[in-house]
Amino acid sequence: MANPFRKNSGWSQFGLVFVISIIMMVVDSKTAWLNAPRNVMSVALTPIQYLASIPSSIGRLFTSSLTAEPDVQIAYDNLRNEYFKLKSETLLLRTLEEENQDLRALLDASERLKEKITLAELMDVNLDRDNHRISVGRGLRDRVYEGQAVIDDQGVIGQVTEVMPLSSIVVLITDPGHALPVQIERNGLRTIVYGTGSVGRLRVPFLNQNSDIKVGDVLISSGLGGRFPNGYPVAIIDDVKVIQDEKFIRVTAKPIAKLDRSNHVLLLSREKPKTRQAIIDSPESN
Amino acid sequence: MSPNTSRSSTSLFFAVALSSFIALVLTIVQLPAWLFHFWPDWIALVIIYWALISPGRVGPFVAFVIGTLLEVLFVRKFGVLGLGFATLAFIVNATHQQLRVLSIWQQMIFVGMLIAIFKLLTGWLYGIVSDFTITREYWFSLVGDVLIWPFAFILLEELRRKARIR
Repeated sequence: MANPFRKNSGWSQFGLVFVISIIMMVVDSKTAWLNAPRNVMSVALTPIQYLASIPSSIGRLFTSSLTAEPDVQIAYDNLRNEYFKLKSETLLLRTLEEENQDLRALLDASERLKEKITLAELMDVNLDRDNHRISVGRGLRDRVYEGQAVIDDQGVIGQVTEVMPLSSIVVLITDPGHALPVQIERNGLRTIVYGTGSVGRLRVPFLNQNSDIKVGDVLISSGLGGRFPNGYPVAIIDDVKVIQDEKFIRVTAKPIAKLDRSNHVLLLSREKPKTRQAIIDSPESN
Repeated sequence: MSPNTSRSSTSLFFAVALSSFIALVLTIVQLPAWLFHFWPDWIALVIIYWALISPGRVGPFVAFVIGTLLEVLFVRKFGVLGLGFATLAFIVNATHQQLRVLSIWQQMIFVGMLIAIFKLLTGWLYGIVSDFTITREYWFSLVGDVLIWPFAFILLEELRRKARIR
């Protein structure tokens, strides 16, 4: 049996490891072959994640058991008020939805896709400080798929990049490698938002000098590209700098979603094409 | 191989496995925001220690295996951290005689330099294989590494004494 702890000359061992690493890098960045072994190993390493989540769950237990009763009462009242408000808004929403459907039918436009929402909890582990990613407790088991859009109660958070059996990885919109097609809510001007690598700042390049954009404009997802459904709030413009002699203006925006503070996120999934077909077909059969 | 060295080899295996396991847990423990960027690179410290103490047995290969485990936990691209830790172990192996005679203060400086080389190499490789940019906060963990090194060293010495590894 080969013993890795045997005495060995450093150079030959390092050379071997060097070659293996380079091969792994190339294979992993060009193909998906290493995903299966990664999934198997990630399940085997679940105890480590469990142990790492103990301190924060103990902290949560303490705060929840030490909360005073009046505070709980206030929180409960607030939630109830909010519930009734939202409930009444939903009543209105249903009539609006019907009206919208009729109008779309009149215009012969295609029906807006319905999204299914799955609630997911963030894992209590500090995933990675060098990348803007979070780990959520839903995986292959819950039919999460790569490219799924992730939102919270305020706006867009990011998208699923990596799906493992029990959890999945979400890349945030502030990651420097992330780009998201958006449009300005006020006038429908379409553009793309890029992450910068710092939480709380996005950049909006490629807007030329005569674009109609100003501080305070809300950017919503435009649905182009097919990953994010349209209409979800993404960011608010917080700085517009026009520099003479430069082709594009410098625009930065602030994400609306609580990227670093939410404990729960929502995964949006498209309904199966088959059921969508059934919805379209049903009025005709009537 | 005499039975004595083989037993020492087994206990070395368990000591390395135990300390890496604890380091992996410490790496992903959830932290308050002010500590987040200063949290040490525990795995790097553990690898430096073992590569320094038993250079013939803990070398690039062991470091590569531990680095691959960390890549699975972090869900990053395979190969980069493995290569980075292997390089770290290789440098420490090659210079262990010089590093061992240093005082603890001088060791702290050298640990900072070694981990800086490791972070530079891995940051650069991540820039090639994925979208990654080295930010200012990326280097903050060096402060944590240097400050925690004496304590980590004493604790690991204690572990080594208990496990009777020479």
